[in-house]
Amino acid sequence: MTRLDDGRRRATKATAAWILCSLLAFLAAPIDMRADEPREADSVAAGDIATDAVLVEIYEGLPTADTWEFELATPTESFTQTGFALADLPKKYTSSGVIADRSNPFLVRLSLKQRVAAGQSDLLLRARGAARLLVDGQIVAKTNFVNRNASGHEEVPQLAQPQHAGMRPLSPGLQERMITLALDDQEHVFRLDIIVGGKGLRAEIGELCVAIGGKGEPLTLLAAAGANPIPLTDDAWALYANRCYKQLNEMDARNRKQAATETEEYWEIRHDIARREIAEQPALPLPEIPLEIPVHNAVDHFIGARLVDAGVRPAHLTDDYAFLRRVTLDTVGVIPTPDEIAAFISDDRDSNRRGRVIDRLLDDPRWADHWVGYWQDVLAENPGILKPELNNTGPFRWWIYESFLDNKPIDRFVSELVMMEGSRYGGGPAGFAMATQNDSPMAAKAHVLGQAFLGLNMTCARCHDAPYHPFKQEELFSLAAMLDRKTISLPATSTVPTTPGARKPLVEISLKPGDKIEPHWPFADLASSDLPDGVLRNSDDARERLAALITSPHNARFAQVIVNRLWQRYMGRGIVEPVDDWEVATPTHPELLDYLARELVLHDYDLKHVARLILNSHAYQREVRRDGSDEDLSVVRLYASPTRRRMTAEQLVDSLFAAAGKQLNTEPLTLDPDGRRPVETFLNLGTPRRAWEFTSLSNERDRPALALPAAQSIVDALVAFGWRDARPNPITVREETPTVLQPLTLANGIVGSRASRLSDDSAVTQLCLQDMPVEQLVERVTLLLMSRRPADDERTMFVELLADGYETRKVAAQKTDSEQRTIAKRNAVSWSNHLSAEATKIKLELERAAREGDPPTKRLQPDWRERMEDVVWVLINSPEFVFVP
Amino acid sequence: MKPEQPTRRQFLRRSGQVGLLAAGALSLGGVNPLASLALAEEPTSQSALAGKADSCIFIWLGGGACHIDTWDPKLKGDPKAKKAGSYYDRIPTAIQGAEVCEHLQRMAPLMDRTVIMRSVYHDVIDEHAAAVNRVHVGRPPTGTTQYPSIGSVVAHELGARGEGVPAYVVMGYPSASRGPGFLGAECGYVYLTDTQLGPAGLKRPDDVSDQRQQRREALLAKLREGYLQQHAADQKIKDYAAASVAGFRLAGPKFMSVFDLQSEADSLREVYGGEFGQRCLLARRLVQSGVRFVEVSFNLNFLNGTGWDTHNEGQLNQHVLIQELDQALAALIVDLEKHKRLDRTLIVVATEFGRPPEFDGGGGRGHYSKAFSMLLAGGGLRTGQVIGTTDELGKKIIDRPVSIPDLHATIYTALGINPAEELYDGDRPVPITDRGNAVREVLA
Repeated sequence: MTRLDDGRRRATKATAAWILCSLLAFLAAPIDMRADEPREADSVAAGDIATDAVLVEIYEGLPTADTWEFELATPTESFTQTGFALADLPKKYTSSGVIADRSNPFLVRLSLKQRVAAGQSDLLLRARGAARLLVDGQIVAKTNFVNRNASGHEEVPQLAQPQHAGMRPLSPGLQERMITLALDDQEHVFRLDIIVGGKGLRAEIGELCVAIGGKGEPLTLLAAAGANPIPLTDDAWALYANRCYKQLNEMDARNRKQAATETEEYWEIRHDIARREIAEQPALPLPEIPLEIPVHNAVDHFIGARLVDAGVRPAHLTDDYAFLRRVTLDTVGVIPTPDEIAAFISDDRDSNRRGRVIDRLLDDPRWADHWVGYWQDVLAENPGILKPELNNTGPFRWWIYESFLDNKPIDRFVSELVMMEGSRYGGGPAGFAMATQNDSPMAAKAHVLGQAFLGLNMTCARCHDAPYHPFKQEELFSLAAMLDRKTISLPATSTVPTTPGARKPLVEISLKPGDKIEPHWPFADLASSDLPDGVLRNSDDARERLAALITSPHNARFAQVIVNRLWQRYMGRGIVEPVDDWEVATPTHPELLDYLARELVLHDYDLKHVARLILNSHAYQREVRRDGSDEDLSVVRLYASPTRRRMTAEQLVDSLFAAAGKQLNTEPLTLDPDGRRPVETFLNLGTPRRAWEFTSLSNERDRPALALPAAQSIVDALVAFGWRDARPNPITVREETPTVLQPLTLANGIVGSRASRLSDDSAVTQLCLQDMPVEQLVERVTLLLMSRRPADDERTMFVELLADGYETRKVAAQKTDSEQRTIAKRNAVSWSNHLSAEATKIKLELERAAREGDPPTKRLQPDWRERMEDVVWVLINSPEFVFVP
Repeated sequence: MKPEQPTRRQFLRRSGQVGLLAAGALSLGGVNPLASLALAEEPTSQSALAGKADSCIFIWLGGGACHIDTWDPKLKGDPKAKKAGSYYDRIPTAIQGAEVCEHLQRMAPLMDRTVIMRSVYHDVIDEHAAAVNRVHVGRPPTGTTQYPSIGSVVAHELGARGEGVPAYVVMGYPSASRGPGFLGAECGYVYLTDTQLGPAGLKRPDDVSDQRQQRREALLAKLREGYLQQHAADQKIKDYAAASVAGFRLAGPKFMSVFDLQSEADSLREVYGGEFGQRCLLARRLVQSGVRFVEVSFNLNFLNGTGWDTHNEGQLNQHVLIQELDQALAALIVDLEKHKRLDRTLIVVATEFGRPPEFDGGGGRGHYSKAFSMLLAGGGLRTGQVIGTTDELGKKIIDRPVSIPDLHATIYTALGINPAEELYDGDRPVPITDRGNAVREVLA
C-alpha cells in the first residue's frame, strides 16, 4: 500500500486555504463534511501533482459493496491530459494485446494543481457514479452511488434545466453538484475520485467533469495551466470529447503494442519457422504468356495462361474514375472524396499512379472498418443489447477492428480468436466463446472455425453425420472438445429425435446423447497433427494446440482459404467456390492459389501484401464486361473480366453518409443509457460512426419505449441490402436477391431522404453556398456522389433543372441551431423507466422526429433547394450508385 | 459426398424462380409454385382437412395477456388480500356456457364467430423475447439455423393474394421473431409502427409532393435508361432496375391508398376506436387489397405504461387495454362480415404467455405459460366453441391441451397449407411445424 507519510500530508493541509461557503440546493441532503474525512489513501502527494497536466490514475481491486471504505493499492494505469474531465477511458489489454476487463468496480482519480481567480468561485461536479471532489484534501462535493434498477417501473425523470443560458444541460443518467468556494490565488490541489461500475453494473464511466467559474458566471472546464479554456457548452464539449476519443485511440494503440511485446517476439519466431518451412518447398514457375496478354504482376501470368488456353481475350482496363471508386470501396469501404479523386487524377509523376493509390489506401485506417463487417458475418459475431437471444456472443467486433487497425498477421488473429481470451463483454476475443441459448457453445464455435479457416462446412454435423459432406458428428465434437480442453458428452438436443414407429431418419447418426468425445484433431488428412518445434508455448493445452494446428504452415489449407477469401472479396468469385465449403469444390486456378498462399506465408501472413498483389493485377483492374452470351460464364471463371458486384449494405450506407458529409447521428446503441444494469444483460455498443457498428435492435417486446428510432432507420436500410442484424450462424456470402425494399429504402426511406436533404450539415449544401457557375456545381455534385464527371446529357438535364433561380438561390439566414442538427435528442428514457406511459410518449415523438429527417437549411431558397435535392436523389437512386463499377 | 444433381431444394428454386419476383412477401403477387408441388408430392392425412381462409390477421398482445382477466375468467381474487383469482367480473357470451371478462362486452354477443382456445401452453416463461419467438416460429431455437415466423411461412407458401401488394405486413416493431429466418429476405415483411406514419421505406417523405415525385421519377428514368443501355447484358443490373420499377409501383398510389384511413367514413373509424382500432381497420383494408398475412401489434403502452405485461401498477389500467381490444376486435369482426370476408379471413388473437392468478407485491401479475388462452375468429372455422378447459384458477389444463405447434398447424391448415410440408434451409429439410397436429374439431 502506498500511503502518504505524515510530513507530506501536513504539507498538503498547509496549502489548504479554502472556506466552504455554501452548498446549493442541488443536494438532496447536505453532506456532513466532518463525518466524511478522506481516508489516508492518497497515493499521489501534492508535490507529485503537476500544474501543466491533469493526472489520471486507475485503481483496481475495490470491494464490490457500495462504499468508500477501502484502501488503494498502486494505480494499475496512469496517463495525463489537459482537461479535468473524461468522455471515456482507455482500454485495458492482456499480454496478448487483446481487450481485457478491469476489476468491477474500479476507481478513477483525476489530480491537478491549479491557481484560480481569488474570491468566490462556482464549482460544478457532474458524474454518473459515486464521486468525490476534494480541494486541498477536503471533500467539497460528493455524488451518490448508482441506484440499480431491474424493474423498468420508475417514472421518467425530469430533465434538469441548465443554470446558465447556453450551458451544456445535464445528460440523463448523470448527477450534478454545484458549490461555491472562496479560494485565494495560490495553487490549489484538485482531486476527483469516481467509482466506476459495481455489483450488477456495467463498469462504464459515462461523462465526468468538473467546471469552474466566478460566482454566478458561465463555467469552463477545470483544466491544466496553459490549456485553452473550454466553456461548458454543447459545442465545446463535443469538441473536447472528440479530442479525448482521438487521444484515447492513440493511447490504446500504444498500450496494446506495449502490452504484447513478448507476444510479438513469439510471432516473429513463428513467422521465421513458417518462412523456413515454406522456403523448403520449391516455388512454382510463372507461366510464360504471349505479349499481347496484358500483365501487371505475377497474378496476371497465372490468369493469362488460362485465358490463352481457352482463347478468351481479357477485358480492357477500367477508366481511372471507375478504378478509383472500385478500389476505394474495396479497401476502405466508402466511395472516394472529391479531394481523393482530384489527387489521383492529377498525379502524373509516372505511370504507376494506380499502384500509389493502392499503397495509400492500404495504409488508411478505414481499412479496418471495411474488414469488420466481413468477419462479423464469417465469425457469427452477434451481440444482443437487450438480454440474450439465440447464439449471442460478446461484442468481439472491437477486437476485430483493432486487429485490422494494427494489420495483425492473420495467423495471429486466428490464434487469438481460438484462444478466446480477454474481455467477454467488453470487446475481447473471449466474447467469441459465448453462444447463448445454445447447449454446446464449443460445438458452435468449432463449426464457425471450420467453416471460416479450413473450408469445412460442418453445419449438419452438429446433429448428425453430414449427408452431403464427409463429416461425422464426432469430428465436429472432437474439435469442440479441444476448444473446451476436456472430454465432452453429446448434449441431448444435438441429435435427431427418433420416435419409435416413426420413419427412419434419412441421415446417419453415429453418436448417441451422452456419448463421450475426446479432444483430438480429426483432420489428419488435411494437416498432420505434428507441429514444428517452437510453435506451442504450452503443449498440454488442447485449445492452444488447436489454434496452432489451424494456423501452422503444415496446414496448407489455412493459407489457401485465407487468400481465396481475399480473392473472392476483390474479384467477386473465389478460385474455390464456395469459399467456406471446400470439400466438394475444385479450384479453377490451383497454381494461382498456391502462389498467393505461398506469398502470404513468406510475408508473415500479412493480408495487405496479398491484397496489394491482387489489387495491382490487370485482372482486378479490368472492366466488368458482359455481353449476355454463353461465353459469359467462362469469362467470369477465367477472370477475363471481374464479376459484377453490388455494394454491400455497409458500403452503401457509409458511402451515402460520407458523400453527404453527414454523421450517422443516432442514439447510442444501448437500452440502459443511464448505466444501471449489468453488462451481462445490457450492453452499450456506443454511438456508431460506421455501419458495421450497428446491431440488432429487434424489439421482441414490441414496446415503443424500447425503440431507438434513428438507429432503426439505419438498421432498416442495412437489412434491406442484405446485412444481418442478428448473426446466429456464420456465413460468407450474403443473400443477394434484389427485393423491392432496396430501391425503396433509397427512394423513400429515412436514409435516402437524409442523404438527399440539403440540411446545414450536408456537403452538397456547402457546395451550393459557394460561388461557381451552375455547370460547375453540377460537375462537382456528380463527382461527389458518382466519383465521375457528368455525361453531356446529364449535365444538360441537371443544368436545365437548376438554372432557373440559380443566381438568387442564397438566402441571408442563420444556420439551424445545433439542437436541431441531431436527430438523437436528449431524452431520459431508459430501461429503468420504460414501462411508464411517459416513456412511450417520448419515444413516439422521437419516432416522428426521425421520420422527418434532417431539417432543411434556411440558407437556400426553398424552391431551388428542392430542385437540388431532387438532383441528389436522382443520382443516389440510379442503379449505377449501388453497383461497384 | 454431395450429389452431382441439384438438390431437391435447388431444383425447386430454379424451376420456381421468376427473376427477382420469386415467391414471397416482397415479390409482387406471384403464387409460390413450391407450395403446390410439395403438396402434390407429399399428401398426408392432414391435408384432408381443407382450409377455407385465404388471409390471416394475427393480433399480437405483446407482454403476455392475462387469460383469466380476458378469455378464461375465474372467481374474482383480490390483490390487497393477496387472494388469487380474476381481477374482473364475468359476463355470459353467445357461446352457451362460456363467459368472458366484463370488459369484453362488445365481443360477448359476437363470440359465436370465434373459437376460444383455453388450453394453449408452452415451457418458456422467464423471458419475453424467447416466448415471443416460440409463439411466432412455433418451435424451440436450435443453434444452427434461424426459423421463419408464421407470417413469413405463409408469405412463402401462398405469396400475396392481390397484384402489386406485399404478402406480409407488420404493424409493430421489426423483430427477429417476425422475420423470415432461413427463408430469406423475399419472405420478409413491410412494417409500420403507427398508422399515421405509414410503412417504413415505402411512404414518401412529407416534403415530396406528387408533382415533385413525378419530376424525380422522370429524371431518374432517363438516368436509369442510360445506365441500362450501357449494361444491357448485365443480369444483376437488370434485376436491380426491375426491382426499382416494381418498388415504385408498390410505393405508388394503388397500394399506398390502402393506408389512407381518411377515405373510410368517420362513423366507421369511430366504431373501431383508438390507434389499435385504426390498425385493425387498416388490417381489413390490407387484407382486402390482397395482403396475405397482417400482424397487428397491440402495443399502446401509453395507455397503462406496461402494455399487457401487467406487473405492479400496470394492472390498474389493464381494463383500458381490454376495452380497447374489445371495441376494435368487435368492429373488425362485424366489418369483415359486412364485406363478406370474415369466412375467408382467419383472425388470431395471440400472446406470448398468460399470467398467474396470484398478484405480485405491486398488485400486478407475473408470467404464466403452462395454460393460457388464444382466440381464433372467422376463417371458415367451426366457430362458437371453446377448446380446452383449465382448473378453477386457470393454472392447470384439464382437457384438450393445445401445444404451440398444434396451434400453428391449425392456423396453417385453415389457410390451406399442409403443416407437415417440408421447407428447405439449404439442403436441410425443416417441416413447417414441429410435428404439430391441427385441432381438428375447429376445422370445418
